[in-house]
Amino acid sequence: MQLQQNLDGFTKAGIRVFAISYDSVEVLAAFAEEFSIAFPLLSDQGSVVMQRFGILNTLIRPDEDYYGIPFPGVYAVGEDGAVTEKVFYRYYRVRPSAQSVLKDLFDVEFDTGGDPYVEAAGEGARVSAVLAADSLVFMQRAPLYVRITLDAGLHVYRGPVPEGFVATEVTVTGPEGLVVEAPAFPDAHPFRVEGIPHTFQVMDGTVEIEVPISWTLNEGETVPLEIMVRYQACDDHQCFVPRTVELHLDVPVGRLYRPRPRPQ
Amino acid sequence: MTSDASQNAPQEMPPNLRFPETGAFPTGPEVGEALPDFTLMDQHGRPVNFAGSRGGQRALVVFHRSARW
Repeated sequence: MQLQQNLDGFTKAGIRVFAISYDSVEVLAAFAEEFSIAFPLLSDQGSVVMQRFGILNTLIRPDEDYYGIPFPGVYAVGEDGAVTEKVFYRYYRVRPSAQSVLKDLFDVEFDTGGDPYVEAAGEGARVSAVLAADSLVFMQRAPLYVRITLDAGLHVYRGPVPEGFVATEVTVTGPEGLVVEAPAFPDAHPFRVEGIPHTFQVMDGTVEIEVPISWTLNEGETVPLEIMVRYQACDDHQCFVPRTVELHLDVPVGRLYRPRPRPQ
Repeated sequence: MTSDASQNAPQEMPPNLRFPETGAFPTGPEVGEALPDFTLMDQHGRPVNFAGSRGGQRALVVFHRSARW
């Protein structure tokens, strides 16, 4: 999850980070040294805590090599010690990006300083895209945030819309090996246009659309993303012509964080 | 690097079976419940108690498969 690279973000927000796996102290010590890990890597040999929590991966039989791993996931814990949010994955190879955890679970804006970023001016808006990770790592899902920052007084439509109107759309394409999932749009609010018997759903301000992407090839240096953002900016009375803004973003392929071969 | 072509074929990304979108697999303590306390050895061989180490701060507790593979 590349927590170490993002540890500052958590520390600044007053969040302590703990990572737990079934590895021995020796394995964790070697890993911590190799990657300069500064937060606690905790050894749950025998998976005692995982079993107490009830998150032992039950898809793996006791006679299989990887028995004892958990369903991968994270708990966000509040100051009072209660779970405030949790995210878990059913499949053990899927890992969320550290920055998306920070944003989704703690509402902390991540520092996008070193992340792949691109922006362009559109009609009545600025359109940008940033990956919530510094790279795409094999089989790791990372969110691409596409933002339409609208000028004051303007809004865009969220689909579905009647014929003749343009719903906001984001399309991301790339080479074979890129998997793009359905975009998630922010909440919209109802809006009526005089003389039209339809209640529109509109979004204004900074419209942030999250597109989960992942890289499924165990090779490559760079993934070129073509991002097409189609929208129509309107105020209360009239609309600009619909625009399609095209963004190009080269995303580096990160090194797999596990350099050693899997055990036989 | 291996020359085995199958190693370089695209892998199938599993469906985004994720809690909270699905409750189809166990995910432990629920939102709103206290996270049970635990004490485990860290990478330096020192015992770390969660509650004591957290010291009233917020925390992110990550369960991951292994540091080795």
